[in-house]
Amino acid sequence: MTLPPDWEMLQFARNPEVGRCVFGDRYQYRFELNWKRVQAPPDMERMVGDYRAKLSEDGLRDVRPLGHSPWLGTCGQDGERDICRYGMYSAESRQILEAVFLWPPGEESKPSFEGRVLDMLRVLPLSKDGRQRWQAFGMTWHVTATTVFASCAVEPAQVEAVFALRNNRGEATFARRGMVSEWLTTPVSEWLVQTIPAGYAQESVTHAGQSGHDVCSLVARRERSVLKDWLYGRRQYEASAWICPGDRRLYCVSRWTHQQRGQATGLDIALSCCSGLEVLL
Amino acid sequence: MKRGESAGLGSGDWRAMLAAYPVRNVAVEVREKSENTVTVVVKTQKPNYMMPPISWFVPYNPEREIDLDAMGTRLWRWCDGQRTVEDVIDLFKDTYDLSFHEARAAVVDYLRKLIQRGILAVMMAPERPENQAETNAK
Repeated sequence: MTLPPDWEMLQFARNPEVGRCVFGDRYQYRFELNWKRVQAPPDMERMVGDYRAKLSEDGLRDVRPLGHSPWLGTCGQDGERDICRYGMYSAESRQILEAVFLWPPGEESKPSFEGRVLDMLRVLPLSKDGRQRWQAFGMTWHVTATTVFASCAVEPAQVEAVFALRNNRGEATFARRGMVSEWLTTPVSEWLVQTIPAGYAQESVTHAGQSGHDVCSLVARRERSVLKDWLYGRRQYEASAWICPGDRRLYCVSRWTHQQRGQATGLDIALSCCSGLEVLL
Repeated sequence: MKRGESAGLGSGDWRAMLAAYPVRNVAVEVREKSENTVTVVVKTQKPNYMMPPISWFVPYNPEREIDLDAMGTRLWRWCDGQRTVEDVIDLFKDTYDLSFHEARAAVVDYLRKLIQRGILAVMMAPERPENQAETNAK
């Protein structure tokens, strides 16, 4: 999905079954994306027709049909503002998608702009190596499809998204922190060491220069093994952090997994802050 | 979830909030604590129940001191009655390399706390002439 750069995500949902993301410019909400997973393909034409009738009943004025294949839409006026809604069924993800454009008061809707946004809107398939690409809050990350989106904390200048393996034997965290000059009083490597979870011992800290970024990485291992570690392998914590010279924010990618000799962790992840850098774990 | 619930943005159009002017309470006393920080002293109103015998046991302080940290002091200084909330947000955004809504969330939350403590008030922007004419016609 590609939107104007000054539209920011102000609401989000983590549930892939049903949810909504809302984007706004500095003055008002501008765009909503709603999704709902369904068991069977719906009759979209009938659904949109019914919806159009309902909007008229609800008091939306000048309701008229819109179309931008494969999207079926409807437009109307709510007070002074135009609201244009488009719906489609995505067979790949078995989801009904609804895109809503909320135009500022007194500004007429622009079908060409809406068409450009709709053309860019699609459900991304998994990559060949079974990873899924995510892009939000200034970060682009890849995570294996065997994970679930466990949590997401968004605060001013601080974002953290956590993905957990479905079998609960590993977790990956992607974080972006701003206002670095206000709170980071130590080198990034020292800060990174402080993020090691309790019960883990630091094994190594390394630095690498990549495209103008000084990437600091560390490895730590569980100090005392418990039964879980005997069964699935000793737990290992790996993390990388750096400050992107482009936006002067601190990025951190980390994961803990059970490590068994000769076996892959099953949690391959990557984080990218800008086009110049992608850090893989 | 209704629109605006999670973002604290009400009806989905926050122009009026951005156009308002944060104004300092002229009755407060400002004490420079250091170069970058201030203490704001607000006079408190004596509650009606504060009379003997309650006042013999419950202390009443006619002043309340509020220490502002460096960032808070900076924000407080920007609220000079000439700048709108939007101007303050833009200054904050540019100073700390934030996006507009990151700065908005932080600034509006902080201004709300200052208003609750009685050291700041918000003056709404005058209505636009065309809106005023519409209102009169109604």
